[in-house]
Formats: sequence, C-alpha cells, structure tokens
Amino acid sequence: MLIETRDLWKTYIMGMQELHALKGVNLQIEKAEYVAIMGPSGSGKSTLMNLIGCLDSPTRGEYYLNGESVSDMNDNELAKIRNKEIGFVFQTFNLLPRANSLHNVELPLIYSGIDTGTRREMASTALEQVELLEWAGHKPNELSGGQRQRVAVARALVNNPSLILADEPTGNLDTKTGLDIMKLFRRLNDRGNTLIVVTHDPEIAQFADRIIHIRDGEIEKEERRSGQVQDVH
Amino acid sequence: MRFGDLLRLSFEALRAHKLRTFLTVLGIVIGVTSVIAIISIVVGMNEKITSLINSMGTSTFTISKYGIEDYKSQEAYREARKRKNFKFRDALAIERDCELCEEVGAEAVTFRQLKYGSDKMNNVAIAGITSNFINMTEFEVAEGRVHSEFEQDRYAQVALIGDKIRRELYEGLDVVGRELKIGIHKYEIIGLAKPRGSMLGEDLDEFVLIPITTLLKNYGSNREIEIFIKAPSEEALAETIDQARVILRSRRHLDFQEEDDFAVTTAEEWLEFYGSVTGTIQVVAVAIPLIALVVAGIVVMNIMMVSVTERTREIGIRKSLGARKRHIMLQFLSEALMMSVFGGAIGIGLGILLAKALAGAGDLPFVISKLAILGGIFISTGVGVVFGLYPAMKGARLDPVDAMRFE
Ligand SMILES: Nc1ncnc2c1ncn2[C@@H]1O[C@H](COP(=O)(O)OP(=O)(O)OP(=O)(O)O)[C@@H](O)[C@H]1O
Ligand SMILES: [Mg+2]
Repeated sequence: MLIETRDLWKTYIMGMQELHALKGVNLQIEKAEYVAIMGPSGSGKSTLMNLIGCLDSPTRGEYYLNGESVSDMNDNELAKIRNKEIGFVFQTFNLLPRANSLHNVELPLIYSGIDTGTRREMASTALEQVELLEWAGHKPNELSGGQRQRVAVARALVNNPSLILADEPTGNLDTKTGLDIMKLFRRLNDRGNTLIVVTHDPEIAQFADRIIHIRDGEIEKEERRSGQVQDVH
Repeated sequence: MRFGDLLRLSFEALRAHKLRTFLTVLGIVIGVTSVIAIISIVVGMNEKITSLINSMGTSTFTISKYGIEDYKSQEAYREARKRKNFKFRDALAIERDCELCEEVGAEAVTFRQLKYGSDKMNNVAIAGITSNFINMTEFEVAEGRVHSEFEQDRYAQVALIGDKIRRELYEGLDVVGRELKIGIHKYEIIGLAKPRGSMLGEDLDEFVLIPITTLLKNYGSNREIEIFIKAPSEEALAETIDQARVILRSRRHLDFQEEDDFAVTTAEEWLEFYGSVTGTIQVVAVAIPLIALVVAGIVVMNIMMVSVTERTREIGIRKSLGARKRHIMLQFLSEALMMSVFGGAIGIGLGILLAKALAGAGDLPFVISKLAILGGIFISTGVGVVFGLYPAMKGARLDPVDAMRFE
C-alpha cells in the first residue's frame, strides 16, 4: 500500500466560522495505480491533494505514505518527503519564470544536494522523457502552455518519486494539448509511476484506472475503469 | 543544498534586479565609506600624537612649573604663572644629586626671526636644548649632527634646523656649514632634522635647535626652562620621580606640609590628557557615519522585504519541491549578505581614498588601519545579517500552499 488515510479531516477557521474542507476521508491507493479525483468546485479536491502531497497537515486523522505516518512529521521531514517521494504538477504550471527549462527541472535536485554534473544528466533525461530536450535552454515565456506543462511534468519526474500528483493539469490547456498531457501520464503509469490526477473533465478522468468522486469533503463514490461503480455509503 | 548553488541562486536574483541591487549596495557603500574615512583619520591622528608623545620615551618625564591641570583653565594657568621659574642650574643640580636619573636634560624656548642673506622667517620657535636630548627622545637627524656637550659648555654658536627652515631659506642648497642668523646673532648650521610633516595646519618642521646655554646667554637667562629626566626603566619611574622631586623641593625651600609648586608629567599622562580632550570628539565623529550605516541597514531590510513579498510564489514553489525553511532563509540572507559585503568592500576602498583626500585637504594625518578595515568588514556583514534576518525569516516561515496561491 502506497497511500492510506484514516478519517482525514481538514478544518479551516475563518473568524468565528469553522469550514470543514475534508470530513473524514478514508483512502487507499496501491503502488503503480492511476487514480483520478473528481468533484464539484469547492468539494475539497485540492485540499486532499495538498495533504497527500505533504504540503499541508491534516487537522485530524492519520496519513501513511509507504507505511510511514506522515501526520506526525515536522516541517523538515515533510520537506524531505516532498523532495524525494512526491512530484507535483499544477494547473498554473508553477515554473520559475526567470529560469530555463533545464534549471526548472533541476530544482528538486538542488534541494537534495546532488552535484551539478549528475543533476544536469538527470534533468536532461527527464526532459527527454517529455520530449523537450531541445527546449532545455528556453525560459517558460518562450514555451507554449503544453510545453510548459511538460516541463512541469519533467520536474515532477526528475527525482524518481513514489507518487506524482497533478491538480487540474489540463485546466489551462486546450483540449488537444490536454489530451497530449494525459497520454504522457498514461505512458508514465505504464512504466510504473503512481499517479493521482484531479480533474473536472470526465474525458480526462477516463485515462485513470480508478475514479474517486468527492463532494462536500467526503468521498461520494469510486468507480473502476472496468465499469463497476462502488458506492462507499 | 550545496554552498555553490546557494551563491549562484543569490547572485542570479541580484542580477535580475540590477537597479534595486545597485541602490542597496550604494546605501551600504555610503555608510561604510564614511565610517572608514572617519576611523582612518581618527586613528591616524591618535597614532601621530601618540608617537609624538612617545618619542619622548615611556621612561622619561618632564618637570615644569606648569602641569596638565594648569592648562585646563585660565585661572589655574594664571596661578601657575606666579610660580618660580626653573633655572638651568636646577637641572644641573638634579644631574649632580639624583642617583637614579639616567639622563637629565633641559629645554628653553624663544621665538625669533631667522635670516639667511636677504631671506627672512618670522616668529620661529628656537629651542635651546642640552646635548643629551638626542639620547632621550627618538629625534632623528637627516644630515650633520646635534651640538656636543663640549660646544654646550662653551656657548657655541651652532644650530640644527628643521626641514621647513631648509625649504624656506636654503632651497636647493647644502645646509650644513652655512650661516644662519637668529635675531641679531650668527650661527653655523651643523645639522638638519628629518622631516616630520604637519598636523592640523601646524608645521612640525618649523624649529631651530641650539645649545641651551647659548640660548640663555643670547636671549635672556631669566626664562622658564623645562627639565627632562630619563629613569633607568619604566619600573623605576616612580622612584626616580620621587628622588628628583625631593631635590627640587629643597632647592625651592618647600616645607614638608607644602604642596609641590611645580609639576611632574609622564608620557602616559600626556597621552591621557590628549585622550580626555579628544575622546568625546572622536566618539561623535564615529557615531555620525554609524547613523548612515543604520539607514543603509534599513534600506537593506526594506528591499529584502519587497523582494520576499514579490517572490512569495517562488518561495511556495521552492517549498513544494522540497526546500526547507533553512534553505529559503539562507537564500535571502545570502542575498542580503552579498550586497552588504560587496558594498562593504567598495566602501572600505572608497573610505581609504576619502580619508586620504580629507587628510590632504585638512592637513590631517591618516593611516590605513587594520581597525578600520576589520571594522568595515564586520559592520557591513553585521548590517547584512541583522537587517537581512527578519525578511529572510519571514520568507522561510511562509506556508507553501498559501504562498503558491499568492498573486
Ligand atoms: N486556506 C484556506 N482557508 C480557508 N478556506 C479554504 C482554504 N483553502 C480551501 N478552503 C476552502 O475549502 C473548501 C475546499 O477547497 P478546495 O480548494 O479543496 O476545493 P477544490 O475541490 O479544489 O475546488 P476547485 O475545483 O474550485 O479547485 C472550499 O470551500 C474552500 O473555500
Ligand atoms: Mg482545486
């Protein structure tokens, strides 16, 4: 089991109001699975991704990644997990505008203290996997949206993480480019990468093996691509 | 994270905002430059005066009817003036009776007109000294010699001149062997002193040395003289002073309950006196540019705050990719440090140049002091750390999710 959450809660306190973004999520994801998370806006998808990605800590509940309890970790340990175990792809790409593709892809490696030579090699390999090696020297503003997102995917791959998380990776792309990214994800999954993708788009979700629907901070239902729908209630 | 990566990161960030970096560095340059310039001049002045006073030697003391206290107020000075003058024979008596006194010398001063051919110099200090004075101070002769004891005993008409006299009256000539007229008396020049430069507009080379006996004979023997005594060692200083005092007290017929009607002053006391007069001025002189540095520090802090705010998203992205608090903190701190160390280095260089220019214009001594350079390095680094720390911490503490959402 790669991911296991038990009764995961996330509560935001805004003034006098408590907002439960997640209300007791139980989730299990195996290694090499390809999971899509769907749900209406404000249902808690991003919140869940941030918890799974160790960017944020749950208010309550437990989260095990590779059998290790993440909920007990301090800031430094979480940073280490983000660096080694997780690759993020965001809707807004989140590349550093002043850095070229190669440097953007290198970033996680800088924080793991890898030397320049090895780093260059690993970043080039990752760029090659997304077919962007010849764009290594270009800055984000010289790339198309699809290319930018592929740089972001290369960056997510570069540390050979256990898990790649993508929060609406196609949200800022046209349909065709979005599908290209999904094909890329499909290939990565075929090579054994574990993927979790948040999306609004049922067509995009169809690329996954499993689709998890959430609503109001709770898992509403899960479906396997084989077609069977599991009602969790 | 590797150190080289950290430096490259900071350097790139600074390069991306050239104008901002330039202004920050400029602020630090101005602060450090002024501190270094002032410290260089203050230290230079201290060193020059210390060396002038110490040239007397640390085991040497002076006896005169005026003491340091008597220079501190008009009233005290007027009182001291009423005291009996020392005579050359007092110095001779000490030489005869003081066993501990290794050397006893004396000096009398008058101001006269100098003449060589048709060239004149007015109001030049003429010092009558004993021949052993060369053994008691670090006085240096460039050419020729100081008069001998033999010449002193015979009231010889010989003189050693300061370099200013040579420049004004004997430019281009060999001075030794030439004639010099002091007032109405003629002298043969037997020596030339090594130049000592000038300070605060006063030329330290404008003097003539002649035998004290000659001075007293030619220009009046009823004048005040100052006695110089060298103790065998610094340890024996106090005992030697007591011996000399006892001799002088009896010569001046002082009762045992009467206080000394003369003053003994050691080199150390002269230094202290100088320090008490100039100390406050120096503190103020150094404090003013320090304010400039604090202003520079606040500029650094401000710019770093802007930089952190502006790069909130970048911080979020870096954190999401595994940057720890300390990585972010070091990134911003090293930016602040780079600017301040760079500005500090330029400031040290400019400060030394400025000190040189000011020293030249204002006739002040200056030295390239270790204190100034170390101070400059320390201060600029300090400014970087102190004023860079808060913004860096603020950046490091940002929550990655919030930071990435920041527009
Ligand atoms: N930092 C926060 N402070 C307060 N409330 C928050 C915060 N982040 C999220 N929320 C709230 O939590 C709920 C879930 O938000 P979340 O971003 O997870 O939704 P989402 O499913 O990703 O929506 P979308 O599809 O629009 O991206 C929303 O009601 C949102 O307003
Ligand atoms: Mg969202």
